[in-house]
Amino acid sequence: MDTHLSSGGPYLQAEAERRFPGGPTIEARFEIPEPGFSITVLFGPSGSGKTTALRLLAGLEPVDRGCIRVDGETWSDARARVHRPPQARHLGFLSQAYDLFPHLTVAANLGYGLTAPERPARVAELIPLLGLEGLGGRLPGELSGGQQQRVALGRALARKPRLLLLDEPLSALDRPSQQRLRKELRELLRTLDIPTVLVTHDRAEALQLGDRLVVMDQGRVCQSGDIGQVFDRPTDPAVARILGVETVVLGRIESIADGMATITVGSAQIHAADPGSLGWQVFVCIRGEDVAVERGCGPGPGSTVRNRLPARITALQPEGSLVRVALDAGFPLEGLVTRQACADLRLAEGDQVCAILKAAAVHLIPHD
Amino acid sequence: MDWQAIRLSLWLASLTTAALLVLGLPLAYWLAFSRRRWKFLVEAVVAMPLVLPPTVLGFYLLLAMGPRSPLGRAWESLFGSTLPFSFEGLLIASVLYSLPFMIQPLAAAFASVDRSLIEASWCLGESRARTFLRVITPLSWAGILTGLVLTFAHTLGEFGVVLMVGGNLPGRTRTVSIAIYDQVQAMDYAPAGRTAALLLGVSFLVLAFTYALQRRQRKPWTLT
Repeated sequence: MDTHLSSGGPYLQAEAERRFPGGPTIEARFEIPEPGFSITVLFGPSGSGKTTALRLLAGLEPVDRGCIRVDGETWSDARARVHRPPQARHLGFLSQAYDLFPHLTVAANLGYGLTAPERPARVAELIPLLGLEGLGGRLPGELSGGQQQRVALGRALARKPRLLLLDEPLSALDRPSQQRLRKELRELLRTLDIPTVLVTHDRAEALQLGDRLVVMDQGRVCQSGDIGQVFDRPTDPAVARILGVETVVLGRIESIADGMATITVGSAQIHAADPGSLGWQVFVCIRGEDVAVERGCGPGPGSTVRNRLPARITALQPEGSLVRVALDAGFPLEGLVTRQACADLRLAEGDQVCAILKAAAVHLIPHD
Repeated sequence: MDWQAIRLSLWLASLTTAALLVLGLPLAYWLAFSRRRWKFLVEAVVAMPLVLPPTVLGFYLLLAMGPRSPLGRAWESLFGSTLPFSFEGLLIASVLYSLPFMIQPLAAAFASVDRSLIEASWCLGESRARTFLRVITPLSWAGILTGLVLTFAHTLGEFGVVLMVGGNLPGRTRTVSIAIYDQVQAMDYAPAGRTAALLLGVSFLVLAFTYALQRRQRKPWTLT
């Protein structure tokens, strides 16, 4: 029998607020429907309250209004004055700074939350899982940033938590390591089958790691849902601005040759530079300024442009000296053109045009 | 030199330090982490011995320990002796008089432990008490050492409170500083000089040792 269904409702349900006197109100309002592996990303600009929302889940901040329920248990309930302390929530919490105990060795850090009898075996299990062989006797100060990150992650995972909370887990690392570790992190968490909530302000990280997206701004949850859907259909311009890229669509890799990937997006095919290590599914990100619009879609023999897509204008929206052009190119695509160019071409809603995209301007983010 | 007084002073300083460590750990923890509004009042009380003349403290202690006070009566019925002018009374007075020298370094050290390390421990399932033992205490060792050394050295050198509460009974309440005072009063400068030099040397060595240890840890430390 499915225990989660028998308890009635989603695995995690948060409807909680934290009010700072004379300051902002921060809310944590989202659900994780199922137990087992999934990554819910809390996404938003810095200062939007993501970390506070995570701390509410951890029990490190009191809930001033609303409640948090996990797996049929009430963790916080402001009205009933329930506050289960972090110690009794059995979760894994990884903060931005890692917070390794500086006076304890790697092995002692990994085993910190375990009872003495279970400690040696579990630590011996974790060290190879995290690629920390030979480092068990080191102090955290003697490790590289990437190694510290893995120790902190291992320490959070050691007790097999019911919920894993990650606050910008990769932000302290350099870019190349970040990209490599995103993939490793997702695979590791999938293997361990732990529901995870991850805070980030990095769009690529959100797209690559997330299953669900919770968009936060000024303490409020603006939109939440399946990550592809949220990027595809932001409910309002504020969410679109926070998400930052005009076009983000899920695509399927058809072929990769000579460093160029061919991707099917909706009913169209586009070409993009291959960033390497792609699976078969990717998010295709296109910035509005990189989209040009032409009348007529000839082959363009004297051009270096790889993508010439027949498209229909679905909406035109002036924004200062620019016009935002919404296109249906077999997938929803948004371009930014100057008001002048728009007038010269006499663009109007319903027109058939050609959307032009340089392959180098198409940014691919793996999503497997 | 008055070896009996030196032994008594060392014994008194050791007991005072031990008692203040037991008393000081929880009190300093409370001072470092409590968010009570009236915490400043407790802080003020703890710091009082720093500014009060020892005679004032001694005077009130004498009153509090006297045979007409509740404490004095309770002590007498329990142990059959009086507190003033006894070693036990002197110990109680020393503990109170050296209170800030233990509490302030401890509280400052506890408060300087990164809050997020403490929270990390809680999230790993450790209670507040066990977090104190496993994280806060080991990361505060320099402050604890400072508290121990300052308390010991301060007790070794106290004079006014001893004179008020303990008097000058050889072998019971006659400490080094009282012995020096007596010798000077009796124009007995040679032994007074030797004892004073010993106290000076010991104090200097103990403090130099503490500062050297702290230097090794490279943690800025301020004495209040």
